[in-house]
Amino acid sequence: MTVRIATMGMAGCSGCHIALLDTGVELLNLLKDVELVYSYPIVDAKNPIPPNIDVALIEGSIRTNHDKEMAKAMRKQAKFVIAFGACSAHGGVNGLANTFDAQEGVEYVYHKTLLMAQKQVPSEHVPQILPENLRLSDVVKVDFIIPGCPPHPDEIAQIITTLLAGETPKLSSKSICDECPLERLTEPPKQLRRIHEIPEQGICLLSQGFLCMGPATRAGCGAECTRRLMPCTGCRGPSETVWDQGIVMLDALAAMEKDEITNFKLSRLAGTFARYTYASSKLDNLRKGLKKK
Amino acid sequence: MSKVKSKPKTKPAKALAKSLLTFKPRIVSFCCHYCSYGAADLAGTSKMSYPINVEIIRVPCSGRVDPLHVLRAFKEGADGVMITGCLKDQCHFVSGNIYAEKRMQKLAKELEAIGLGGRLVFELMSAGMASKWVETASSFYDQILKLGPNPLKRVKTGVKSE
Amino acid sequence: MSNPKHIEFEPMTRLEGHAKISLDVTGGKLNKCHFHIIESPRLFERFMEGIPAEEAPQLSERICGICSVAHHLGSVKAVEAAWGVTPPEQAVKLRHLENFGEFIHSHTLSQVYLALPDFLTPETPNVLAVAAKDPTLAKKGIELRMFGQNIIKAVGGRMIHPCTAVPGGMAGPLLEEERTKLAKQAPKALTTARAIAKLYFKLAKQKDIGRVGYYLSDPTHYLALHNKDVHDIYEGTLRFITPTGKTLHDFKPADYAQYIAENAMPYTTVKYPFIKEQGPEKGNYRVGPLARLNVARKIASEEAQGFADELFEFFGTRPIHDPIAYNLARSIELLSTVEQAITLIEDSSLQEDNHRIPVEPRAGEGVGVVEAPRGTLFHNYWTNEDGIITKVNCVIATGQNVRTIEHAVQAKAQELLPDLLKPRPESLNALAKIEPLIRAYDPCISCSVHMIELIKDY
Ligand code: SF4
Ligand code: SF4
Ligand code: SF4
Ligand code: FES
Repeated sequence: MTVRIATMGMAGCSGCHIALLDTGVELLNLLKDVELVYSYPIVDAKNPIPPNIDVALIEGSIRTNHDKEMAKAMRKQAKFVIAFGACSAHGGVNGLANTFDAQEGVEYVYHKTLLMAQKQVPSEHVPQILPENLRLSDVVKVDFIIPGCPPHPDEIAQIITTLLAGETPKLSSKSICDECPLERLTEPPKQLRRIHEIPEQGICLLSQGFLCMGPATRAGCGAECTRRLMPCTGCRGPSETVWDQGIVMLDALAAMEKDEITNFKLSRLAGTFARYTYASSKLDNLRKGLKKK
Repeated sequence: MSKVKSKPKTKPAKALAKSLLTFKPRIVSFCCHYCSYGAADLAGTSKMSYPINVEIIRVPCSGRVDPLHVLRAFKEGADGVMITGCLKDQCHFVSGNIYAEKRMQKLAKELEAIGLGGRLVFELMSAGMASKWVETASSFYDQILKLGPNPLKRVKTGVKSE
Repeated sequence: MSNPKHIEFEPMTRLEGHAKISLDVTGGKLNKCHFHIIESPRLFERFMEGIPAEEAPQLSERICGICSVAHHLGSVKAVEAAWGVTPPEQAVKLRHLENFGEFIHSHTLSQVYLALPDFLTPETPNVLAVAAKDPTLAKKGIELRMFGQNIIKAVGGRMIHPCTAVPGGMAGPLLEEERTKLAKQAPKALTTARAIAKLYFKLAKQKDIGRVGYYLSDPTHYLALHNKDVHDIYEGTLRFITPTGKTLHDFKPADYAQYIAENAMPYTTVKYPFIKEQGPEKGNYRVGPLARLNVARKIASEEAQGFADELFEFFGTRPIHDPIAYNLARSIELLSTVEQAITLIEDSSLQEDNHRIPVEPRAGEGVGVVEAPRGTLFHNYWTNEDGIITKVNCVIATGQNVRTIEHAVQAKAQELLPDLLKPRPESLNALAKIEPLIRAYDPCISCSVHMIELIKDY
């Protein structure tokens, strides 16, 4: 029996779909016993969504009423729904939009950006924006998540293989630090540093004072960024033992006894510590509650 | 959200006014076992009066209070959260209170950003400073009284009373 | 029959992003036909405010997963311009190489995965069918695309959303082990790129491509980057040429706001840029592979230059306006970027330790322009004294082609109207003649709507 797979994109960048293609020649092997029944970048199927889908991979967060309807429609047809990538699983970078009012953001983009000659906000047959950026599990039941912005191709291939074999896939329960080759120091850093400063080779970036999200982030990418001496930005979301990526890192920062980065007040937890998870953070949950007053 | 909207505006406003009149702030106070709990205890045994509705939770050290506990308290409807620890250099776990202070300062900033500013307080005191504990609790209580109920709770009561 | 009817086809497929076509028909006549871009707005321009500028390259690239390198580099160039930094030469070479990698991956994706099925397997046009019909071609295509992705990974640390460009240079050199791996894949990549170019030229000459119903578009202006008349995708001067091929403006990227303005439309979430002094209708222009070839006089690699000469000879005009030439121009660029990437892979200076200089954040304004596979991309940032972003403006490649795409769609829909009004599957067959037209431009919709939008009644 062939397995019927569908993919779908919401508010995202298509990067997760490209990561799927990055499984390379492996993809052709994977798709041998599979029927791709709905996937706008690859096959020509139009709406409505075909029935009896076995696995649906959904990229992107829920930003418009159209996204919401499509997610629900897909859930109806699919037996196993996967939130594919950080946007879908945790809200993604789009979640940073929850730090301001959606309407204000829209007006900003259509009225205040530099080149706008004729100021109007589109309204005919285009989807309506929701007040909040939501992750997929806020609107439908999600059976599994594949984290990462985008997910690592090897991990995608491995998860799909496991699913096709009828087993339940599993994510790593470790943190990025467990995969990172850099050497940790016992001394806390003397000062906090920004990433335009040049780090020393071979030494843990957090020990050097860079805000590396490694300790709070789920392993699985092989510490791609820290291998290049760039701090992990936390794209794979919280690891198993971390209840909220942003706050846990904030806490770690407090433990380092350093308040401020030279020149730059750490006023935006969202952009630095919860870049991919703000829309699903405890703080944003509280805020959403407050907004409903 | 749509539910709330569709209701006539006057009712929640009335409910709000009513709740303001009868508003008794509910404060969750985390006290460390070694010093500040002692202070609160002493305040009780020496019959000092402090605001009602201050609910004390004893923790081994102020450093034990995770930001999660604070967020949870707000979510469950606390109007304010007060955390007290030992004096500087007197923490029984060496520096739990210092860490706690730093993390709560940072958390307070974030709370402010989402609209819960001024509802978190952190103080240090020794076991003998019962009056300082009472003072902190009372002035915090007054501050919350001015700020009004936790907006999260207001939704709940507003909707329920319909 | 006289009842007004609103018909929508959704989603447009084998494109990157979300679009639909709608038709308003009264009494069998086409009243309105729109190409709607319905990608969800993500409001990047707004939420990038307040973040430290050195982190912008890693945030703004999330605008698009296909041309993330272009955003990454455009963004870092904008920050460097704002802070008055000139990166070392080695870093510039590394960035060139990274952008070549992106062109290889993205152009192969467009040429082999998305467009080719229309020509090779028109009955079931998708890459899986191509793979079934011609497994070697499909496999070679996949390998060529992976060659591009491997370059990005070697230079940028990750295949999608690379992390190594920082103001002042690149976080690391090209490691020797990575270089050897790439050098091994290179000869095969070159052969495949050459074969793809030949295949497209063959198809064009057989007029095979005509079968899917291309439409000769109106002449437009063109905009592209060039480096002293030579085709360049990372740095240089911008040039507008007129529909007859005369140079209209040659200007520095930093002055773009004097020449370009944008309009919003009620039915689409993308903004329409145009040449300011000429107004929205007359000032319509196109970007992308064809625009780059029309604008530049020369290509830096020999073999590709040969194909380019052939292209202009075949069409007999300069500039060329036919959208089909976009596919051909893309295959020429694919070949030229593979050739140039190989030259850089062999360049031993990429392994040196001169890839990064120290920088100081400061207040300023900076524009970063690079060529993305789909056309010219602008990032423009303002920073305060701490180097924190205070304002952002981006002009995205695809947006600049959307108006032309829409004209083509309207003309074709008019022609195919009776079929489009029939029930499925006939209407879908007609639609299948419109979509290749859109695909010729390889629009990247995720990108074009990174920030938008709109609302009110749906
Ligand atoms: S998770 Fe990252 S790669 Fe995937 S759609 Fe979102 S922004 Fe793009
Ligand atoms: S560099 Fe980052 S990921 Fe590596 S050990 Fe240090 S904190 Fe962990
Ligand atoms: S190191 Fe961190 S930011 Fe980089 S890919 Fe891994 S999880 Fe994502
Ligand atoms: S024991 Fe009192 S604060 Fe640590």
